[in-house]
Amino acid sequence: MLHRALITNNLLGYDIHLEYYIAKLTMTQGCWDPFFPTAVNSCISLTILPPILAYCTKIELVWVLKLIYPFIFANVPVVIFKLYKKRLGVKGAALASFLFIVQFVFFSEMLGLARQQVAELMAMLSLYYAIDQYERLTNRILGVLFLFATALSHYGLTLILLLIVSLAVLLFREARRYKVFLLILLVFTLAWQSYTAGGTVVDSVVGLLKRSYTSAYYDFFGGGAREDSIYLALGGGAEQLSLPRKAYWLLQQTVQGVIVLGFVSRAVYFYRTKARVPVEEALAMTGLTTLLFCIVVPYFADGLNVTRIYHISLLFVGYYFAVGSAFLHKIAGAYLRVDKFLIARMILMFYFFFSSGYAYVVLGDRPSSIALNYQEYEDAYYYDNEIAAVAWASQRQIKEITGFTKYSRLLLGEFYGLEVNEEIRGPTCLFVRERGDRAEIEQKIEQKIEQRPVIYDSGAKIYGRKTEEADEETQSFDSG
Amino acid sequence: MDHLYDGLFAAAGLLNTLFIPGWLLVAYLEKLGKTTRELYGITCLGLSMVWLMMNGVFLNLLGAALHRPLLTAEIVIPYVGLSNLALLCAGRLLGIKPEFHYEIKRPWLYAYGLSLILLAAVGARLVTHCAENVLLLFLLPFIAVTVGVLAKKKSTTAVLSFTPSL
Repeated sequence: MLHRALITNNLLGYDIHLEYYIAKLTMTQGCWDPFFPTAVNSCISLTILPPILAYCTKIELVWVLKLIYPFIFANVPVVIFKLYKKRLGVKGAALASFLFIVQFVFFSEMLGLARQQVAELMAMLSLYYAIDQYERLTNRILGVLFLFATALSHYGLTLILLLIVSLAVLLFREARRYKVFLLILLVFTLAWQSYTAGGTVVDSVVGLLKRSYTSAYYDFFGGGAREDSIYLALGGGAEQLSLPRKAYWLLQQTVQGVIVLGFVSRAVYFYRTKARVPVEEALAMTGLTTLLFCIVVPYFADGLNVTRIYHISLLFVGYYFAVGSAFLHKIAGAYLRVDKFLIARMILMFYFFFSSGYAYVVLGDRPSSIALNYQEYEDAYYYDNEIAAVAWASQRQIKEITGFTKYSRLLLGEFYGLEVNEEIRGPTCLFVRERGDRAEIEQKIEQKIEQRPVIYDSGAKIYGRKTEEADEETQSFDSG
Repeated sequence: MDHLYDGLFAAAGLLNTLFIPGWLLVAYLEKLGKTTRELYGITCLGLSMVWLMMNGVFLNLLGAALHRPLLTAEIVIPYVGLSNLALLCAGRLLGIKPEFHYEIKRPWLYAYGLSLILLAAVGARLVTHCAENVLLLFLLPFIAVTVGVLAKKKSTTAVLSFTPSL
């Protein structure tokens, strides 16, 4: 995580810019406004926790999000390891947690999702204490405390957790003792999300369910109803990939194949023996069902990226990777006299080689990692002078502003939150980055820029309003 | 010297926010019965965050009632320190004695791991790009554990004796 977070002094990722804005808002106002209508505002892990950490350590908020949050998140694989150690043994549990680590989302996308980093730790701690020695009162108290913290930390993870746990409680007898946990989580989440952030989360969940329900008839086989990565995961479009990327795709398919194999082998075992399904496995099975929902239900994965849903489901499904690997060894054991998990470990080593982007650099393919080749990803990499330009605009209280590309608008979001205009209208100022936007700008909207005066230039530029009144204002900026 | 002060402040702040409240709360819970010791450190971290979030919400509500912004550095820094102290004192009044259950069995491994982190941080051009106090943040536990390694046996004591000096 650090290899990516530390390549720049500034924030990297998508949501993190709005998260920074929300946390900063608490710091500048000295209080948290629970009614500010954006879903991110309902996450205490953003509105309360980062300001307190920034105050008490005197570390800048940017660095709290870039350094302390990944440190917190880095503990999640340890909890996964401890959760599965009793069932899978040390090597199997290590494999399950290593599968979680080698995913691209773990060390890249998650850095841009501070709220989810905290929520995942809380969720896993809650499950750990709920599952491990449930009869102990202290463990149950800890389980409920961390459950509350999960609901307060991230709505998306909480909703997926609700889905996974409720399916487990409905389908498996061993999981039924957790119905109280489920009810607490359900009631608390509903209450919290209804009264904070203007109920935007409840609104969007209702919208998503409605969309999935109404489109089930019309878009079930439709091309646009599911993300491209779902089709790719199912094997579609792989022929267009370059050779190294095809190798990565094959490794992904292998990992998924081993997971499915693990699931099938255990399902057959439980069917034959009529044995009760332990809670860890019940969660793994329902975790797999969530992935199935992404494939079957149209627009299901729209709220979160499917890569993120896969990442969350791996908190549970990694269990079956270890089981599948052991099963493979059992079948091929007569021919291969090696350690039970050796082949699986080798697969994951190669997987990591590709998912980290290192393989593409070595093999001369188009790089995929901003840390290894940031020049290729200048769009997402912000320079100090670009930050300074936006900070200048914010200090001058320029109200209407937009960036020409998505990435410049993301950066504007750090200072303007949701008030960034989407379109370049007459009275709107235009922020143009020094590198990322330049080529596109010059080719596409040269004439638009010509009609606007430059009011700030440090490499990154801000173009003033288009109207005549703006000219006077620009002159006052220059003199002031 | 300023950077050293910043580094010490940051390290002490991290301890005050991300470890000590959880450490004290675990001691409270253990009054009710035994907890699982396997994830002791991470549980302390998790509980500390829960405590901070709860206190943050409390301060926010109090601020709303008093019509004053209370989530400011001037209020939060002493509040966090005092709330930790209150937790500790209340615990002692109730006969709760917080102990440090985390035994470092292989201190050299920690020293090795921390030095790797330090190298990674330097490798990532922290020295040229970031504030020096961030670098110090990595350096301080490294020094603490190295002291522990040198002491060979009582590494836990060494780390703990280093902590209050912050």
